Amino acid sequence: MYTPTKLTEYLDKYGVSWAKTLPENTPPEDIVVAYNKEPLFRLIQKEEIMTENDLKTHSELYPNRNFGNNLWKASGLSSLCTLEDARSMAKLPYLKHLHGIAEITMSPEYGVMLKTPSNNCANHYTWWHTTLFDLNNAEIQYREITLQPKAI
Amino acid sequence: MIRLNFIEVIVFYEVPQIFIATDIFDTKYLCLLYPHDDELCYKYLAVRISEKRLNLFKGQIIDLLSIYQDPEDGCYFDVVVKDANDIIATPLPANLIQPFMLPDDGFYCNYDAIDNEELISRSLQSGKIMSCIAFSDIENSHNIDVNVLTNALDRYQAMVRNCHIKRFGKQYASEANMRACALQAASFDVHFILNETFDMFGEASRISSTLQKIDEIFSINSSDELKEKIEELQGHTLSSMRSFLQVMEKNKLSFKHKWVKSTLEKSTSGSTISLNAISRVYDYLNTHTELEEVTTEFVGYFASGTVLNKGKWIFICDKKRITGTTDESNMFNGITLGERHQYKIKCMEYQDTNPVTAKPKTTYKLIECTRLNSL
Repeated sequence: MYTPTKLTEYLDKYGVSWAKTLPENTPPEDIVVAYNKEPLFRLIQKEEIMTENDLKTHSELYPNRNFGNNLWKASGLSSLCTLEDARSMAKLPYLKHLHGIAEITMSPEYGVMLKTPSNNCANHYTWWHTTLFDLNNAEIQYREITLQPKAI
Repeated sequence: MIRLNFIEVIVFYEVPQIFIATDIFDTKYLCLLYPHDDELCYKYLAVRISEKRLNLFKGQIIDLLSIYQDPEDGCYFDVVVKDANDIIATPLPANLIQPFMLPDDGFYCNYDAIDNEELISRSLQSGKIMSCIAFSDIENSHNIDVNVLTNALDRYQAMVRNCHIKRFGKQYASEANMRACALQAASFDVHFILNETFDMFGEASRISSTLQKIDEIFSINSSDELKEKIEELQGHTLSSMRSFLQVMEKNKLSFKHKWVKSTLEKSTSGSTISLNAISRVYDYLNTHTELEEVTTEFVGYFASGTVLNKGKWIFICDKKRITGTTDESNMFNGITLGERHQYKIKCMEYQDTNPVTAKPKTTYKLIECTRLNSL
């Protein structure tokens, strides 16, 4: 589980820059940070490789869409803290083009997260990554999108 | 064209993947995002859904695909969403539904009214482990008979307590005492504070492992493994487990339980126990009631004994008064009462609940008696 922190304290300590241009007041002040090498799971396009395309936010992909009050969320990346949740998500029609799961061993320098759960998935986080998250150096394991056992 | 009002997001990933909306008659629509290349809007495939069916979906009883394969009124809608205030549904003939618009088989909703973080933060506040249990009937109807609820809670407490005693001994029994501290109506999530305090690593390891032990029984499919795990818990744990499962089975209830494992790591554990899993364990316990038997031996003297009244007797062991009955009243033949005449007795031990105080009560049935010596 990630550690609750204040954004200002985090920025003072790590002095990082955001990888994307973010709207005002984004990320919010109350965030969480992975201080203990916790994993973070993200659905990716290809099975065994995470590319820059997998780091494109929704607001970046669809700049003309009206995100209203949710622009702050659309400027971050959806991610999950369990593999089961990632596998479950991959069954939805809009996400079926994503063929792999990246398990990133997080480091505080990689950015901050905020729990943005839906009622279905309390393990969903929005992740705003920094320029220090480097696909070539980050510790990433690739997981298969295999069928989950049927829910009981 | 039907204008819809947004009600709630059920699944979010980048954007709302599934949400609920209503029309002006308050009819609910389940809307599922599908791929569509339009820069200005999102498109969803919708079906009208009754409260009952929605609850079945939220309760993980039916999957998403089954809802879309068989809409209750046979109708589909194409829903265009420009923003939360601009949601328009248009009837869509079933023959225009394409496979890419549908989910894969086996997407179950995990509608979670139990917030892990709330459990953890309340554990931190109280300094004691928090746990919770939620009951759900086959229709996930969000209501429950009061007698069933109290019965189920009473037996769940007995099961956890007995399992804890079995694993760590009577000196730790009080750690398993549960105090209900909150009840959420939605799916009868009862929150408890348990009585073990956290250690310096933020863990209440004993009670957490007791709950884990109970939990793992329900995840076993193979009968050999089930036999092995259940035999580890021989005695009162199994009788109270059977008693708890009897309430679940009789009322067709499944349950979900969860507890804080570590406040330092901010982790919780627990799972949803289905009706199938309940039946599997309950059936096994019913056919192996001999595993519930507990025999105890005492050394001391008889203070009284009668062949009447179900062979009631009083035995004094280490100045402690033990009372019981026997089916074989001729066992009293030749027995002499009084402190000068020492006996070793073997009894079957049963555990019951005192109907007045609701506290666990132990009763004994005498099965063997050996004279030791006369002082």
